[in-house]
Amino acid sequence: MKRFLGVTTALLALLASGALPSQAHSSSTYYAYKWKNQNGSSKTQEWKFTNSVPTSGGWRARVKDGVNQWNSVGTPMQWVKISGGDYADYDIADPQQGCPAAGKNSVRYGYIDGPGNTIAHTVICLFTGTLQLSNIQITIDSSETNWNTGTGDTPDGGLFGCALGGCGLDLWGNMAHEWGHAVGMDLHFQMSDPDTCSPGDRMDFHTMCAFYSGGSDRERTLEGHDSGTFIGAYP
Amino acid sequence: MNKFRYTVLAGALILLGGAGYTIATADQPYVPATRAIIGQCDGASKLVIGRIVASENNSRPGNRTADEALRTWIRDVRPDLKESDFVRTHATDEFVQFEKLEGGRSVITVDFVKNGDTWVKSSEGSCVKGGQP
Repeated sequence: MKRFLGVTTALLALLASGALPSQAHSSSTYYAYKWKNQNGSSKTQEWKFTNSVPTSGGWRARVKDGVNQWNSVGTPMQWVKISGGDYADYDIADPQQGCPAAGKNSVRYGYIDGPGNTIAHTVICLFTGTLQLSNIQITIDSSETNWNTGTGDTPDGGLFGCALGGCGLDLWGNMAHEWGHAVGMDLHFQMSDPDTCSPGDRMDFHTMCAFYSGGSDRERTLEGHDSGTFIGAYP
Repeated sequence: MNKFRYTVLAGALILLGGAGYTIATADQPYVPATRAIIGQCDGASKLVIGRIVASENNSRPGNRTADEALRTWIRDVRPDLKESDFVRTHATDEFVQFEKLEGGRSVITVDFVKNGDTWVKSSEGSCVKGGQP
């Protein structure tokens, strides 16, 4: 009951501010964690590649294409790639590793779990006992052999679909997804959610659905609930 | 037009709230224990959230049960752990969560979701031992 009244109160507050996006899930549900205010009203965070990410072949450009989707929404939560060379590679998903110093954020290319299953992930570190993000790291699974690092159509297997292994994994779209976690969305939209991930063609899914279907390019740009929920988290 | 719609929605919620209804919708997902772990850590905590390739394009044999998925994850990612370290703390037809408890506190959680006929890891959370922040 308390939770319900809380939702109602929040809705009324948003009404008063006129800030409720027309397509949005509950930001308090999907964005449990946020970046703290480190620079006046801005929540700008810096990031770099680690030296594991290939410097040619479109890898880095597609990572930037992914983050640009979130920056272009225009909220105070902005990512800025800083110059000065790459970080030496590190993996904060490694259970033997702690979290690096606050504000050290990166994108890397390395082993996650072998071919299939998880194709990319985001690690979120939190300040002790708080809901505030201290740093993130995105990893692209280097075990996958079929990344499409270009901007053209991702191979969809043609008449045979993905059954014969002819489908590619779109790096741009998957990076857009991972940056969605990096801005604080720690849940996926549910696969049973008719507004975002169901029913129908997986090629129509929102960017922040849990599953990626090989051959899809749809996730390159944000859909209404992707950006609307983000705006609600960072008004 | 939009403001009118929101006003109607808010009004409806107030009426339903007053009547004591609870609403379970797709906007209220089950919240995995990765969120709860932060209150149980002596220091910082970290979460790992994965993007999963759909079953029709998955190049590896699927795990038919959540227990099998847990074993696969331990073998591939966390060989320092044992299946017997974990207890199942939540289960539905599409979501299963395991926790590793130490002294009655959760120090690692991992959850799996059903993808077609197979189970794959969705997210994990753990207490950070040492290091920043």
